[in-house]
Amino acid sequence: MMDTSEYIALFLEEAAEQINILEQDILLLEQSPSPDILNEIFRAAHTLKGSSRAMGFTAMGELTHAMEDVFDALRKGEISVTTEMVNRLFDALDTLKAMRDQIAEVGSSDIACGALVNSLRDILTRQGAEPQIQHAEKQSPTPTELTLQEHQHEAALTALDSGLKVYRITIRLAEDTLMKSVRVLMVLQAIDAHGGTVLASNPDEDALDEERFDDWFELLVATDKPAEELRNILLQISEIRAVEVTAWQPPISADATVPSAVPEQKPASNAPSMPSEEEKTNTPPASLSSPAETEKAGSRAPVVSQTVRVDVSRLDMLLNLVGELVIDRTRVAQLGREFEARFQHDELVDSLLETAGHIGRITDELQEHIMKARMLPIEHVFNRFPRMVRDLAQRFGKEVRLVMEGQETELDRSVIEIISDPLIHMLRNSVDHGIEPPDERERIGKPRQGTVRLSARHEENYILIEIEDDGKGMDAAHLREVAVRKGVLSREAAERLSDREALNLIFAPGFSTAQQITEVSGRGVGMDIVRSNIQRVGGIVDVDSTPGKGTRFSIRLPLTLAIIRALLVRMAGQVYAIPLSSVLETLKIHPDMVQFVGKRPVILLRGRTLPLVSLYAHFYSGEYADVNANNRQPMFVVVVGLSEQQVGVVVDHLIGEQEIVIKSLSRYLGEVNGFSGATILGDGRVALILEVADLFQNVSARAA
Amino acid sequence: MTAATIAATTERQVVAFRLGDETYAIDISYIHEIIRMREITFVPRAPHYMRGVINLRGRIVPVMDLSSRLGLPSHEETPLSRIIVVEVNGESIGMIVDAVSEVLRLPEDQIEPPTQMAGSESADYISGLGKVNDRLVLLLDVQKVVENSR
Repeated sequence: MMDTSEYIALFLEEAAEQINILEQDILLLEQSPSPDILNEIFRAAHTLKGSSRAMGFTAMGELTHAMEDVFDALRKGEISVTTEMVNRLFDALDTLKAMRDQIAEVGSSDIACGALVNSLRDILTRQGAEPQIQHAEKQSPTPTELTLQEHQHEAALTALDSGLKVYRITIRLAEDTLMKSVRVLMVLQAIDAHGGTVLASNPDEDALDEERFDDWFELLVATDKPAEELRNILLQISEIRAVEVTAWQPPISADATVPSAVPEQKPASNAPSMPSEEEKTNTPPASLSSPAETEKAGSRAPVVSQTVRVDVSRLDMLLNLVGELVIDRTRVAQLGREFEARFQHDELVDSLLETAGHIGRITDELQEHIMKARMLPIEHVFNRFPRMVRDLAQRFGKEVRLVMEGQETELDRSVIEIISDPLIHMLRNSVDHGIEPPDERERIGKPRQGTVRLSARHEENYILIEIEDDGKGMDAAHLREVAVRKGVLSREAAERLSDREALNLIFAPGFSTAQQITEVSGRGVGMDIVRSNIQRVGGIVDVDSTPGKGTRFSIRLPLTLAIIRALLVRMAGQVYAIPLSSVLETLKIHPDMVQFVGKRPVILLRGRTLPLVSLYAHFYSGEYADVNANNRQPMFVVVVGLSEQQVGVVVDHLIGEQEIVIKSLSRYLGEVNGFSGATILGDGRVALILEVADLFQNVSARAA
Repeated sequence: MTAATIAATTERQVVAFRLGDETYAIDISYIHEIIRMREITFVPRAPHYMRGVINLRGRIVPVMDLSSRLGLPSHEETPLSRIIVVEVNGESIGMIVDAVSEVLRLPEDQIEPPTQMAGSESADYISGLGKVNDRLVLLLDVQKVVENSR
């Protein structure tokens, strides 16, 4: 037996992908089954079955096989989709996930699936169809001649015209190759990594994926590499017995002008079958997948992946290195300016400045590209929500439609990791507390089905995520009442809050409005943790609600956590950095403008009172009044915002904006509140980064 | 050095330094590097013995005033003052000392438990007493000094 351990990682990754596809497609299946989806879902199940069997995970293979039978029967129109069926398929899918996770952890899985397999088979027998035992796909058609579709032929000619070479490559695998599709993948990746483009293949891409070939296959590749080099590259891949590379010439025969448009014969199982009598009326007959359609799907141009998988830790390291470079760039630029000031326009100084400028631009670009490489579409988080919302709605007897927008919006993977849990919590809240039961909705003239809208989009340097429901909304007066009763704040303080501020009470620790505690959302530990998680990464969460109409949560997140823009200020001889994401504006005011409400200093800014915090008093000691008692000089104020609140931070000087690299503070420093980290400035000194939320804690504590 | 020091099979290599009039020592395996005094960024709200953080080739390293950590009177900085950067559990921390004197070899059998120091404020942080040429050297329990400051 061959050692399969080197394939495990590949298998696990592939299994996760297929499970993902299955999950999304089963959901779609429930909403609107179409031949395309049925075909895709069948392929995914089939691939997963094949690879888990090849790896020796028989239970997993058996379970996918049972699912595949159901999909196949659906595809042939022998049975139709029911909620019960979807639930069972999801059960099976969850078991597959558990099996996969167990294999990832301990290398094997002992999860039993006999009952599930039976319940899936049950679907088939109950709906009157015979379980499909034969799968025509298992036949291994011997590859015939490499025939080119018209567009493939044109692509080859275009490649020749642009000076590339086009080769026909025949690859022969070792006879006992265990996972042929893995070898195919490695060949395709190797070609891709060396700048080659695969124009066509024989057999076609699907057949290669599903290992429907003997021990050899052909590729048509456009590249600028000589034939011998290409051959050597491919021979380095293990389990490849032989590689033949021959130059492709456009045929001068009639074939060339009339490129063969005859697609490979598809296996017989796609032949149309009669809809069974049990066909439910609301199900479009799956048998409509005509041969013409399947052929179209089967003969599409091979999509050669233009991507390379990179270990996350390698990306992290690259970003760290770029971070160091950003610091040094700033330092070099500063040194250049100091030299200029000292030596005026010496030739060497000019040359240094020029080089520093160039390094600066290159560093900027490098940073930008590495940041982009770390970006993932938020789809990675959103993907699991349709299933989750469906299950929740079912459990609470609600009817909920989840609308998602902007799944393609990209953000740094570190932010993605952190945003997932808060979003889950808020969606649960919307379904559980926001959306009313269908009967109640009908009574008040709303559609039975509630809508939860989840959207993501870029705004300047931020990403804005909104969760909006058309449920019962929240009543500010009610929230004030609850907050007072639970001792979150005093009645006087509650009365002073604006309606908008009162809504934000739901983020206060120990606050939960749920009438009864449900399993899903809420023992009153939810929303405050949501907020602190979001604030920890420099984000802002806000809520707006109209009673009877619905609630909207908005989350603003930085695109990345590693490098941010900050406003540098000076206080007591030291430089501090304030994340620019929180800075609304800066002011220069005269001490006479400061008024006092009790002991609290405020200024009037465009008709609004703005509470002031002296950074010195905040961090050292004393009250604002003591610190600034004899000050007659103009003062600098940085207005920072957090949700609906604003505060003016009094500092000694404003220095300017700069890009900073966030570094964490050592735990040996002790529990130090108020700083989210530190950064290294151009002159090599260290500046602490203010945690903006901390500036507010003092203000609201005084308010309460 | 006495014959005994050289002959001893087990001996400890330590870096000796001064705090006030006393000589302390740290096991050499903890020492990451010894640097001159440099500008330290003060960190508000940190424990009183923390002087702040420095930039050590791109890393942010906290620095403590070892004297006040041990409950001893702090001394003015002099040109001899140094920061000893130690590495404990994979993280670095700097300690300000009045002067670094030398690397010593202490035979294990010349190290006594710190019983005779009982009652003094810094006793908690001393793991043993060594004698070199009739000079008393206090061995610092680095782990304790650092961990308790969390």
